Amino acid sequence: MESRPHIPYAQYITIWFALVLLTGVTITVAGLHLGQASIIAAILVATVKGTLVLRHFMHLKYEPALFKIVLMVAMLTLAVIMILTFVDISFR
Amino acid sequence: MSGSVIEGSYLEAGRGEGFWPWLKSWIFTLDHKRIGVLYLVTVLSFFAVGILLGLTMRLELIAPGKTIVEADTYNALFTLHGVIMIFLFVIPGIPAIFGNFFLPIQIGAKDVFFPRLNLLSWWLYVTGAVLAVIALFTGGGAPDTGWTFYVPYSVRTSTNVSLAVFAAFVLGFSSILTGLNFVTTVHRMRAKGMTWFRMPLFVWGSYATAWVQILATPVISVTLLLVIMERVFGLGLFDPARGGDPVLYQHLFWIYSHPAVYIMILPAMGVISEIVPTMARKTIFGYKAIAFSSLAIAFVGYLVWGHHMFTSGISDTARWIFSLLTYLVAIPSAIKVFNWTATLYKGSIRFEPPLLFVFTFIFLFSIGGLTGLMQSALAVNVHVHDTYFIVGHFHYVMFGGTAMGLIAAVLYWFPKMFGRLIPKRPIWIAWAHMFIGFNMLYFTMLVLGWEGMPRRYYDYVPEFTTGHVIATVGSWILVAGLVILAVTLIKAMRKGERAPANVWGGHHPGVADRIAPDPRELPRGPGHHDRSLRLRTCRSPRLRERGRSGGIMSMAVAHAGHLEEHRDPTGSRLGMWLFLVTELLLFGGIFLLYAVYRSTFPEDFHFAATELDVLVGGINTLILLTSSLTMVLSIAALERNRRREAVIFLAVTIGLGLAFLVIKGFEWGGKIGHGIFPGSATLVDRTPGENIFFGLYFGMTGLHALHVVVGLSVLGWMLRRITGKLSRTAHLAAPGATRLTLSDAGDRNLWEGESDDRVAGVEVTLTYHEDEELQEKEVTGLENAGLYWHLVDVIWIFLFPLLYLIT
Repeated sequence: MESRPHIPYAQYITIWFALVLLTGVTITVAGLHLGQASIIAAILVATVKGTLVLRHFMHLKYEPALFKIVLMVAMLTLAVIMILTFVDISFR
Repeated sequence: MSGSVIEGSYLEAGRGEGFWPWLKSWIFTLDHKRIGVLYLVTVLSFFAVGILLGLTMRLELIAPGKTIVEADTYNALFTLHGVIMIFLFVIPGIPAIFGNFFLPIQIGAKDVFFPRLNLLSWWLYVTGAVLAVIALFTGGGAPDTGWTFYVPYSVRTSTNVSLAVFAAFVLGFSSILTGLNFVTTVHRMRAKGMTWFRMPLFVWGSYATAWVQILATPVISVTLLLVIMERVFGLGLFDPARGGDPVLYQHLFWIYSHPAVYIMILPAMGVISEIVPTMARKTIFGYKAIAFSSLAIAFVGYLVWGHHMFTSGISDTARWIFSLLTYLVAIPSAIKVFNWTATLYKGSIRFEPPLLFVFTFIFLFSIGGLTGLMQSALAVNVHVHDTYFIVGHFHYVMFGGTAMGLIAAVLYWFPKMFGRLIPKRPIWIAWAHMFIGFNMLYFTMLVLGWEGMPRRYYDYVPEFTTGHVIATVGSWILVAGLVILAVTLIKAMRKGERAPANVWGGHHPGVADRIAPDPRELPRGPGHHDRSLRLRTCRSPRLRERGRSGGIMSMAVAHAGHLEEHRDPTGSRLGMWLFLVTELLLFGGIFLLYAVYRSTFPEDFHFAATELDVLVGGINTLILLTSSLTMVLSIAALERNRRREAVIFLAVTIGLGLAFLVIKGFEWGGKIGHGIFPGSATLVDRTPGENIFFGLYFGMTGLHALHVVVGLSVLGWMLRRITGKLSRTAHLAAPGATRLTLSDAGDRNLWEGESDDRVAGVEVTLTYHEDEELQEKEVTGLENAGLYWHLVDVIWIFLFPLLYLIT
């Protein structure tokens, strides 16, 4: 926290508004029954929302690069695990 | 350890004050060295238990048919032998004992970054061990599944699998805490000048191991939790009759358990990389290659788990891809072996007992590695799968590798830990027994397996009798060697010759510096600050050409008693982020199940999801998002020292969390009221995909709700902590007295002063103002609690669309 500035309350409230708005978007898109596209849209919106929480509420934006690397390594690990499992599931 | 203590050493504290104070001084110590010794005692005790179980199995197998135990008991014996040796010996072994003891010393740190977490880690280890023991005598009796707890048998057996699995879960948690402590320590507490490429190679090995502990263990944690949930609630996720896939369990299990092999072997390789250059009296050959190969092994270790499943029915594509990837592991492993050998080349070798065990490690590990390489080949693997060949192979790796590395570490660092020398002759005798016994036991297993003897069988055809007799006799000789070794070490601990400061003539931190005999190394709490650090460059002319650390170091910590201690909020948050990463991967395991089943049953999932109320899920989403806002506002208020505001925001966060749980409770209640719950008659009549969907729904939201409860508990504790400091009513001590004291919620004495008010019985309300350092700690504490809470929110952000919206 030594290098993090005091962030105005308004900034947090703006992020919250964006999160609420995106929740509305994801519910609306789901209601359109777009088939496969709705899955992609839902995951994309969830990713954007998750990123907003991570960057702003969890202050990842202000942390040293190491913190981002830690998260990236975990995501990469999860991706590798998923891909290799699907190498089995998809070709059975 | 009577008589072992050298005056003023860390071993001496608590002595002479009676048994209980002495015991308390050990089991509640925060000193990394003493925690290392605690692990030494407990880990080796369980090693002894594991050996006894192994011996009993070997004795049973000396002849076909029943010899000394019944078949069911034999099943329990090999399960327990595996569980104890894997979870209580090889996984914690070297990192927990020698990592704790030497890693901080080797990087010039006063201790690990989180000493309390370190102690908690040991207590979790003990708790897990106790639970495992209790599992033997309670429920339906000792588990009989094998250490792999494969479904569907582990879900169906009446033996006490649930408790044994929970014990393994607790042990995994202990392992995660050790891992995140080491990563944070290496990143945040290296002494000035201790750059990455000056770090001793044991530190590199421990660092790589710690990453595997963090990234792999959560997957087994969720897998084990799912086994318990299957047994208790019958989710059906692995039950083929209800659409589940047992092979998915094997994926999840080996996603952890293969990388776990590297948790076991990497620290041992680190030990070898320390001993070889010291004994060869040369700089290590290929320092960077060895350091990076540790990371490479850790990484590649993630890509190869499928080779445990070549005969389990995975796809042909997966089989050849995993087969190809498995070959890759041999590359970084061989880099290490070749570099050790190159280091020894033209060295002035001191053939001391630690080096003897290093050679044993290299020889036996090479056999283990090469027999492993054979199994990368699909055609060979299919034939030797589940035979004694596999048992022989992994004992060459685990016992011949890790355990021999551990013994080498004991012999190498014993003089530093206990200030005594070990006599050499009995070590040679012990080694000769062990080497002969080991090869009689395990090489025979390789042969038996090649001839077709299946593993885990209680009985066998008479043709295998000779092999089994040789193996059993070998086990006796091996254990005789271990007993000689143990007796020698215990004797040396009590009456061994005093060790000089630098026994092996090396210059590593941890070898050149003084530890056990040094009075400056008394146990210390977090309050102990000794910040002066002196590093000494001790390059010999011979080393100047390389000028790098490893082997004979170019830098040594001159005075172990004068090390730096700098714990900062960034390090504290780093530890928290590493923990969050483990939580993400824990949920990642169950998200993987969701992805697989969704791709398998898209129509059923679509239909089942329409039964969930989007409005309820949407309201809960808004509640959690709002709670994240109030959480971060609470932190922002505390940063500005607006305590009352911080308390209000935090209280609102807790209120919203409770509201989330209440709504979730009503939602669950509604489903259960309509007969929709795992194993219900209503669900059984529906399609497999719908069964799986609701199994996942209850499993995922249940696990998430559990995290909400944990989060709320942490926030409640923080609220109490902050509120306690908001204002205080202080009482005059006695009529006429003017002395006031102020304590916080934890009864810490925060303030003392004189009052002008001399009227007895008057209450004086004081507004409390923190000093800057305390406030920073509080903000960091709240920030860490907030990070956990936000993570709960992030997970829900994904759960909501996956369960409620993708219809």
